[in-house]
Amino acid sequence: MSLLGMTADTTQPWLDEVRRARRGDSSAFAALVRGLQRPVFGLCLRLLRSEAEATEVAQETFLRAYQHLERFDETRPFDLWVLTIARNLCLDILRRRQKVQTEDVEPHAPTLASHEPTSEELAMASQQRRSLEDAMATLSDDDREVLALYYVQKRTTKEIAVIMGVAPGTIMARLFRAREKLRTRMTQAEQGAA
Amino acid sequence: MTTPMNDDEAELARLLAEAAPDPLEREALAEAHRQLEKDLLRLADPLPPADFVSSVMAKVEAEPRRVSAAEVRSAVLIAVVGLAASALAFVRSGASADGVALQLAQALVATREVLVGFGSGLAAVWRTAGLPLSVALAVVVMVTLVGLRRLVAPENSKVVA
Repeated sequence: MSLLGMTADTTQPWLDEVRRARRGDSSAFAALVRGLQRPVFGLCLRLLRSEAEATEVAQETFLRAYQHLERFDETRPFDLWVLTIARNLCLDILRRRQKVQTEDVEPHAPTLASHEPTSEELAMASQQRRSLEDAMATLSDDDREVLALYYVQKRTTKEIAVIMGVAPGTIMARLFRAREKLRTRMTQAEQGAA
Repeated sequence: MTTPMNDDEAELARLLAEAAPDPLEREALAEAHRQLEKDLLRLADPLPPADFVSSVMAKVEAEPRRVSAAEVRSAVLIAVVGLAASALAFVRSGASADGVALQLAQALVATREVLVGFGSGLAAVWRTAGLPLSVALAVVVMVTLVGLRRLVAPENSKVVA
């Protein structure tokens, strides 16, 4: 994918499971949880930067989805609906954190690993990833979120706009600014290390 | 021949021009962003804890089952159809409203007589054998409560070592 690579996917792979779950089929809901656990947990972890909290919020997300399954609009993608619930729950926690001025945030870097570790390049790749993750961790919640959704979860700008509840036209600018901040932070870190 | 730019490309070009007015500087910035994108695309979401799905499903199972809108609609439909059938049967039987009121009054009087008779009988038994009656009633109530508890929550009736 290039700077402008992704296109919208209009298929709804979860619809059958959603309908069966609505009829009380718990195995169908379990299939939905299995299919979406990684992006939901990933988003929560990127936003909250605490594995324990991310796990709790991700579980709460699926519980809310189950409780409000009747309200889900079948014309919309189910995964985006669930991610929106997760995002809203995370933002509630972040707002509460800001209120109490909490600063001791648990680092999450050890759990954010690549999906393709090879023995030869492991050390260097791991170091690069760690630098990138560290730099990402210094960004604002909004910047981390937009980068995670676009690059890690490979969402389209339209999907990100739905999840974040903003106009699609603003996502490219947000991405650019987040990348620019990330690049600056990484440059500063490299200069500091040299 | 140049291809027309789409909105995203135009937006990106505008943002790059805004960030780096000099063409050489702009090209270097675009290249830095492309490299950064390559690195970002290699990142992956971590897996949640191994017991994640089972924990979610345990919470889901603990939730009381929600009544669906379709079930509510069915219940209302059954009630309406039942009432309509009753009204139709009443009208077709040829019964008048006066007759129904009379039957209702007779039923009330009969019920009152039954209750009074039951009370008198109970008072007579209490006068002659009050203690055995109390014990028998207490046993019946206790056995009923224990039975109901086992029916509702069998795990509560297990003996904890």
